[in-house]
Amino acid sequence: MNKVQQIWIKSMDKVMLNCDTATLLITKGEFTKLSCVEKLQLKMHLMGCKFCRRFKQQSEFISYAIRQADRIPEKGNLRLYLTDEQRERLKKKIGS
Amino acid sequence: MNNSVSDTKYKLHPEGWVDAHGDYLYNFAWSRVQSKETAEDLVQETFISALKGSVSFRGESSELTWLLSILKRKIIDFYRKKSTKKEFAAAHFSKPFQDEDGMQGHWIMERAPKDWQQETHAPTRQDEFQDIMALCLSLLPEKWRAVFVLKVMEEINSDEVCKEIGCSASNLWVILHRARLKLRECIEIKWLK
Repeated sequence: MNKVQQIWIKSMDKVMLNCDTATLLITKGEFTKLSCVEKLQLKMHLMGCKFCRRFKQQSEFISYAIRQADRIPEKGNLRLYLTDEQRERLKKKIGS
Repeated sequence: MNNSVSDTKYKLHPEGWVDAHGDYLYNFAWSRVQSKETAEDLVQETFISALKGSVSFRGESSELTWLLSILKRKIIDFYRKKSTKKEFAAAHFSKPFQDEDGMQGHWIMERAPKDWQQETHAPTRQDEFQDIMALCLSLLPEKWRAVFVLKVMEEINSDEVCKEIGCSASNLWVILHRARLKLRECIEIKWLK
C-alpha cells in the first residue's frame, strides 16, 4: 500500500469510521438510539463495507434465533428434557 | 370466596408444576447458564420461591408466565453472585481487526464475516444452529456471557445490568461488542465447517 492510499484510508476513517467502531455502533444501535452523526457515519460506512453489512445481518439473525428459541414450544419440541431422576428430585422439593 | 371473580383468573397447581412446566423452565434456564446442573438448581429454586410466594400470585398472568418471571430473577441473581467472585476476570480475545498503522480497525481478511446466506436459509439446519449457539455461548468468558444474557436475551436495561454485575455504561458496550464479535466468529467457524 502506498502513502497516498494510507492517508486516504486514514482520513476516510474519520468520516466513515473503521470497522471496529462501525460494528460497535451496530451493536449499540440495537439497544439505544444513536446520535445523528453516528447514524450518518454508520450508514455511509455500511454502504461501502460488505463485511460490516454481513456483520449486521448476522447479528440480527443471531438475535432473531435467540428470540425464536424462547418461544414456548409445542410439547416434544424442546432442546432437552428433565430426566426421571431430576423430575423426582424436583417433585420431592415441592412436596407433591 | 366469590366464584364469579375467581373463575376468570388463573390458579396455581403446584402439584403439577414439574410435569407441566418443568421441561420448559429447564430449557430456558439451560439456554442462559449452559450447565444442566445449574439449570436444575435454578428451576428448583424457582419452584421453592414460587411456593413461598404463592400468596402474591394475583392470577393476572398464567402460571407459567409467573414462574418464568421468578426464574428470570434467579438467573440475574446467579450472574450477580458470580460477578462478585474472582473467576469473573476479563478475558483475552484478540479482536478480528487489524492493528497496524494505516489499516487499523479494519477487518483482518481471514477473520472477516463470511457469507451465511446459504446456511441461514436451510431450514434443516435451524436446530443445529441452536446447538452451536449454545456451545459458543458457553465458550464466552463469564462476564461477557453475563452481559450478553442479561442485555440481549433478557433485554434488561443497561443501568440495571451494570448495577447487577458492576460495570460502567461505556464499559457495557465495549464488553457487549467483544462478546458479539467472539460469538459471531465462533458460530461461523463451527457452522460453516
